[in-house]
Amino acid sequence: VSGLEVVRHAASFRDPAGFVFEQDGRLFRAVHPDAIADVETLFASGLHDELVRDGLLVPHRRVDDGPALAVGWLLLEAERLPLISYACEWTDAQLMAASALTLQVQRRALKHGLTLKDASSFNVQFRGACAIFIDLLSLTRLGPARAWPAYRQFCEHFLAPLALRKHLPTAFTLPLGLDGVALPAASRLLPAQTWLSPGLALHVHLHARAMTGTSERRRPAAGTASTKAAAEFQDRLAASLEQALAGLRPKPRRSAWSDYRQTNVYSESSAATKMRFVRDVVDQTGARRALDLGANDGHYARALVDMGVACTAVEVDAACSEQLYASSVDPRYAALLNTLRVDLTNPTPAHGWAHSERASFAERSHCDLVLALALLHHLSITHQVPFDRIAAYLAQLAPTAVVEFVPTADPMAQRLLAAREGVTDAFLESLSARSFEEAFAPLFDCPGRSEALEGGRVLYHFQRRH
Amino acid sequence: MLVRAARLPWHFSQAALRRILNMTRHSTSRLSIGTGRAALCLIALAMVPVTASAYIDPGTGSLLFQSLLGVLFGVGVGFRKLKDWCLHLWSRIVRRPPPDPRDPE
Repeated sequence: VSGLEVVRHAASFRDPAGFVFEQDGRLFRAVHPDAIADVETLFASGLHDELVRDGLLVPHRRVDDGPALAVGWLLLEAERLPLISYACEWTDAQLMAASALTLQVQRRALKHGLTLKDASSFNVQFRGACAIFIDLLSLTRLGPARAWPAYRQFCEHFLAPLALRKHLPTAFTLPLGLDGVALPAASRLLPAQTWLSPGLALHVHLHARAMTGTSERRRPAAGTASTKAAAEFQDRLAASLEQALAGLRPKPRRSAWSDYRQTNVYSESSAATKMRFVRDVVDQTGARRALDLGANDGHYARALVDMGVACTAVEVDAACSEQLYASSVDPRYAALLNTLRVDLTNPTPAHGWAHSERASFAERSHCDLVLALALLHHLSITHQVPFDRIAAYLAQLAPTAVVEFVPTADPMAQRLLAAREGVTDAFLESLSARSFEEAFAPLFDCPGRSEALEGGRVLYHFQRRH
Repeated sequence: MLVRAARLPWHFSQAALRRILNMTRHSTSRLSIGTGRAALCLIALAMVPVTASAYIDPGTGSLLFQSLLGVLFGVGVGFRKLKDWCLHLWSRIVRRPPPDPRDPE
């Protein structure tokens, strides 16, 4: 019990060392009296400043003008990140970047006499394209215990999922959940050839076997050593994990959608009209944060970033999302372009304790503009989501929407219809422009629409009614 | 009975691991003895089934496993030193002496 009057963040209750809360748009971290010595060491050793300088840690500063805390607690203010994402929404390259960041933070911490007490993927977020460590209280002073307490968690949250994504790319997507992938499960799923990889054999297969069958009553005494010896061992362990990660670098992928922009049937003039329309909406509304749904290779997302609009590009296709993230690392886009791999027909739900520990995708996607370009026909034809449901979801996501209507006569829509059985007149009528406008009318005003583009496509600017 | 049989390799590896780790502390030739024992540990671990059951603390096994990793890393450092020493020796053997200026040729 903290005895504090502030309201904790829904996800911040497991660590007795402190918790996070928001007030007046500011993000604070309250530090329990027992953990203050760790935080003081972190600042006094220079590690905090070093990590912040190199973009590895979210900056924290002590504040006196914040909310009052119980006696003895320490108050820090942290930089507030505009977007929170979870590992199940990251591309392979993002998961790799988050893994490398965790090990880098650990190795630098060891040089300053500190260590990570946990290695959860929830400790890492993406500020634009850059992975950044957010949990200051994970860094504690190094004790005489030789073992790295976060070793198993690192393997479960980072190493095993990366190995599974590499070796079972089509079969495996990261599960929801708080505990990563259990090593015994990962060991069974991975193909036998992975025993030949020293990193995976050691840190996944043999580690999984060491974990099973050890009961509480046979708990061995924790190995102790000097702090220097503990730092040396933990640094070697981190170096060994880095080597294991090096063998798991994702290969470039290809899919039916990865060359869509090069292979589609639309002309340059249509693309230019679409771009002009999007730019006009941004100018009219003054949007600062956008969500590009079905972003494909991120063409429009990057254009928004060029206009100074922070953008979260959402794409479910593995190959496209990998390309998108690779392009977002470019210094021109890295600060403002976030990539997420999310299936819009089944977006990340709220989960964790009491369904509130981890927020749903819609709750986290704070934005003032949502783009749904060349997306509607996939949702309405392939996934049979009616227009009114699409309108309701877009209204939930942002006050302004730019939606591309794709008529059934469009060549791409025709392809999707050809792949479907039982296309009735009633179904085709539900996909008409009239049905589209009727579905959006109850929730949105329509201050503008584009001229008809090739295939009869039209862009609509919708403004949510408040 | 079946359950006990399935768990047998684990008992073997646990006992072996503990004994080996204890003996390694008192060994005089850490490199040679450690290598053999680490290899034995790995073989024993590889034989263990990966079935997990309730009321088991997987963190304990992870901590114990790190003791084994400590031995392995020590052996790795020993091998690297041995390799460096061999390379150094080899470079001294193959290095030709500089030509003597007083040599008539």
